Amino acid sequence: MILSDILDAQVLGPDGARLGFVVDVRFEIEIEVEERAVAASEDEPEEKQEEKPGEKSEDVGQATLVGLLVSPRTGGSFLGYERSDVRSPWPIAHWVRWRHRGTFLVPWEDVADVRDGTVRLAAGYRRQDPGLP
Amino acid sequence: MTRAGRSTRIVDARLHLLSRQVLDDHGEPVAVVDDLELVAPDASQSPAPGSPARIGAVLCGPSLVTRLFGGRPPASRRARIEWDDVERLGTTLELRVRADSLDVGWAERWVRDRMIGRIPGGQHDPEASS
Repeated sequence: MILSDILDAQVLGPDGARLGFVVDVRFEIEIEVEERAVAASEDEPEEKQEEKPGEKSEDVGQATLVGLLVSPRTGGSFLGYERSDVRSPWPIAHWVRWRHRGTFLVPWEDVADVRDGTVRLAAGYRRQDPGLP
Repeated sequence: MTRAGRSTRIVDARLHLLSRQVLDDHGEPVAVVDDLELVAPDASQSPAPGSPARIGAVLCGPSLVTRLFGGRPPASRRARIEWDDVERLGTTLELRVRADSLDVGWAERWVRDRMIGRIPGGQHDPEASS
């Protein structure tokens, strides 16, 4: 399965009712953070050396599929506005939010079937807040 | 001294991954993210709907024609970059491997070695210091 099988697919409820379109797919990525102490300079006094922040490196781990973002209207571009605190430029942000009102996140466990551009949800599927944490 | 920790980050595919530039471990551009391959946690097969799934590979390939006229390039035309080779995720995807070790740039390398390299002066890097 590839992402294109899911993106823009029509979403149907367990009873076959049209719920909208998949506008995005959410993943949870493991990040391994490693902080190395910066090599101390001989010229600096000892107390200053201890305050120095270390070099931080972030390694990407596994990316687990969390769920699908479903917009009740067309799967046109949303520019990320409806899921973040970005408010500018105001007319565009307002229009995009209005167009994608009612967008919700469906956990991947609640997906019953993916076939021929259609995603069918399982009975008792959950509607979650689409906001990015 | 080294301190290590683990955290998680939530990303949306269209917002944070698709169409992002992919760079190799030397910062050289490799490709852009055209699609993502989803696999079961043990990577043995395609995930069933509703069962646990993860990203197995970044897919790159000739997508310009299909973006203009619709459809999807055949699987044989798509090059895979294993997700395990992705080191960092920011405004770009940074890999932990060299571009030459990937299938994705074979056409460019073929033209470089077989055509450009045979032109007199074609093996000289004009930007290299003399």
